[in-house]
Amino acid sequence: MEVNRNYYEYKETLVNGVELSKRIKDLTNFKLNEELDTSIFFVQNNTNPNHVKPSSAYIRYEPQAGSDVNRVWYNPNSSYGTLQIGDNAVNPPLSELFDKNMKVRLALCRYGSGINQNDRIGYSSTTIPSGLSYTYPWLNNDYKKIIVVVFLTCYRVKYGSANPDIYAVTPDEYDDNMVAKVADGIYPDIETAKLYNPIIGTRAYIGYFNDTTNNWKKLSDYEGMLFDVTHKSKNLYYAHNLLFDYASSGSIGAGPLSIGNRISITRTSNSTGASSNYFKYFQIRNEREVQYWKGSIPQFELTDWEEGRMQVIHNTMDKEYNPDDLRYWQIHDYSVSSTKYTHLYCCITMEGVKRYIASLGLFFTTNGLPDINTDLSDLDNLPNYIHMPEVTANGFTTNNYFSGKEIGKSNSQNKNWNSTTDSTIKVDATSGTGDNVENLELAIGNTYVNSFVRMYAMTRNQVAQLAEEFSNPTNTIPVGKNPFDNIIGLQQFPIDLSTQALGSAENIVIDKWDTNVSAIKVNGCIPSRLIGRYTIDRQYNNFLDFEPYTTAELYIPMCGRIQLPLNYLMGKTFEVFFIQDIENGACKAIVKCDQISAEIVGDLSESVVITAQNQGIKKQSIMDSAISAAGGIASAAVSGLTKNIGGAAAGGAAYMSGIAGTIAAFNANYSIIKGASTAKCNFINVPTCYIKITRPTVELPANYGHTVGYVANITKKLSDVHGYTICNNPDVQCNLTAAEKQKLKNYLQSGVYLP
Amino acid sequence: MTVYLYNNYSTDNTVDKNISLVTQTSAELKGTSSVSAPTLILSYNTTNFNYMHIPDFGRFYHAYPTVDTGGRVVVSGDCDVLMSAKNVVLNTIAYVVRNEFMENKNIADENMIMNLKKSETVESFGQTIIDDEAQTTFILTVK
Repeated sequence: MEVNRNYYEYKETLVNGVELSKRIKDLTNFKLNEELDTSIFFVQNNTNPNHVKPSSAYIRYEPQAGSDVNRVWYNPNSSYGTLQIGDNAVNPPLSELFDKNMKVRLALCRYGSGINQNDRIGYSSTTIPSGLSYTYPWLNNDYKKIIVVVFLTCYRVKYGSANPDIYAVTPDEYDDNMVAKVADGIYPDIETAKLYNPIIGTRAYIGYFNDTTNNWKKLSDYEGMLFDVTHKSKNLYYAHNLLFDYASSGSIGAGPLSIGNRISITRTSNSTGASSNYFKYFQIRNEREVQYWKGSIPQFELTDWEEGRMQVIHNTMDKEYNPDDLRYWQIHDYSVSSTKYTHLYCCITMEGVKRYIASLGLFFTTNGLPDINTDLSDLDNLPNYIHMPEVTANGFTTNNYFSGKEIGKSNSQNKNWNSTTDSTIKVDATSGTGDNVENLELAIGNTYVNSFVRMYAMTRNQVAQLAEEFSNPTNTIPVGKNPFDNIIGLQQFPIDLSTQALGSAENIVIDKWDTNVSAIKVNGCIPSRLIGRYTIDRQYNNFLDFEPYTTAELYIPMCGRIQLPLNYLMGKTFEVFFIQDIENGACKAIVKCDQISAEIVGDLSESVVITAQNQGIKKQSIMDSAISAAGGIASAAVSGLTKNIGGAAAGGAAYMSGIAGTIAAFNANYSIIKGASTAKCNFINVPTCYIKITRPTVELPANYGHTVGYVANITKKLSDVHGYTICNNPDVQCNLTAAEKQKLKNYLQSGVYLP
Repeated sequence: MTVYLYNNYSTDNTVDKNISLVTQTSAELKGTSSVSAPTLILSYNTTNFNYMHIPDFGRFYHAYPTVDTGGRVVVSGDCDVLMSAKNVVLNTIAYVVRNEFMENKNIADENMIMNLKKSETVESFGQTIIDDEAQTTFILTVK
């Protein structure tokens, strides 16, 4: 899977000049356990990528025994807090903690048995459990031997004799339980049973298949694995969000609670709310931006308190959420003697649970780990409790998943992955570049040769043999046949086509003359092949990486040069396909990166002109004339048997007897056949693709931002802007004099330093 | 009126200036003064300050103290509009064209100084199409 660069790239810059490294988007080949550029380490609050809080306390690195590669454990921040106005950044920035030349690698290790906020999947690892060292026992990273075991956290709402309780079950057990409860008469129907047993959270464990014991085991605290899980967009969820925490808006109810709990509103008054102004109107909503990963409370009203009320409120009014967020709220009113309670439960649908888990990109089970009776080796016959997330061609999870036997039928690329680090190193076409490009597949049409001709792929030696056959006095060219009339052309290709499946070996037959020279009779004539792949790295990570500042020219052998459209290709990987038309000697190169970015047509072959052919035909014409004459003579001889043309007849007979020799003699003239070549300038060429990238050289002073400022182009409250700032036509509403306001405006337009 | 005298260590175009209080003193207006550029006679006899605040005017001033012939310290003020309207400025929503820390990297920055000499990178990649070692292939086409 691929790093979701969108997740890592922020426009925010912190106060005190702490820089956020954005170079992670340079990484087109980001895999765990591979060496990384240390500059990817930047200050970030994992709990919400939109807010950044610098923290250096959680990062450490240690030398790795026997290697110059250091392993890094990175836990940017596990706190809920985000950098607020007035907070000071920690200095130095994390990137300064590393030597630029230091080699590091990322890994995941575990902390605790469940996936929780201390786990860091995909790009970082956890805090190091006490006693853990770099000799950490890494497990096999077989993608199909790792499984996420899903558990639900449910809340049993008081109903009849069923006492309130929080309990955990697997998803499949949950359904079974509901059926059993209805059968026991506890609930009248499944719908009611589920209403009073809302799923209020989910947890997950990682299991792995132990080859030694041949069964599935839960990953322990001191086992780790290296893998790489990313998500399509930032509004999907990382592993550490599985607890689905939410924050109360504050005034009512408790503070930040786990989704496994609830918001409780307690009323000590006897009022039902119907006639009391004090309790008549509760309104709970998000008054401020709520971090997307936290549950938010949709706007609703508690206009009345009603004993036993169970109300479902869908989370559709909150624009902070992805509409795919399958959460909803339930309100339950109940009383304990004279005390009135209202509980607000943040619930999630079963489908929501599966979709969240599917976003992890790993196989998951909705059954308990001990109940898994497959090792995932037979994908066509998996039980229904095994699910496989859908992963796009670009390596992103979609939240969709396949279950049971659907897995074997799916086209999801992860079906074929062997390792958790089998990332598909492709371009993120949905990384917010503004591009909306479909990955266009190349069609392969019918490439059979024209049936009216025969084509033979020959080596140089075979061509020489054929030429030899022409000059062989004992060749068997049928009388009256002119093989050259049947030769359409001889082309020379500067490549070895013998390795390509063009056809099978046969004797070359020219106008019924079996030359006894064997060559490959060509059936297909347009083989295409991928001849190269190249990633154009961004260097500046800004406009300088694009035209007209940076330009790129691609050379493709036999085709020439072409200017590449960097607007689309920059930072991405393109592929060069080479299509060769053997029949006509043409070739074409396609530069493809999702879409076709360029096409170049070239000439792959040079015609070999057989100059002696004309001479041969001339000789043949002479020979034909001779034969014609001889035939006439023979005819005359036959018809003149009664005529005394004996001398002539005798002479004709002598001529006839010499025909074979004459043909041989004429054929012998072919011994002078030489292939006269046309210019083969193209044969001497750079044999591989090459790219020439011309980049601008920018000489910025170190304090450029402080003295000149970077282009911001943003409308913001100035209290949220720091450092050197230039505004355009600011409208400052104040009670200064007109001259002072103009002076103030001039300052802001020419540049000021904001706190 | 009361005047607070400071030393200002910041540049003029700093909104929230780094100032240190020298003293609080009283002063009288000298002649006809405007609130934007008052001239005061201080009850303070040194000139070791360069900035002042007059609460009655609700303004901060760049201060230019002098000593008159009578030995009095006379100070001319020039209103520091940035500091005086600091809170209003910070609460203003404005179109920020350039900034020290925020950067819209996709917009060309005409102020960047570029060397006329561009750097060139040439890199070959992929398979060899024309192989020195491989034999060429002839295609004979016959009727």
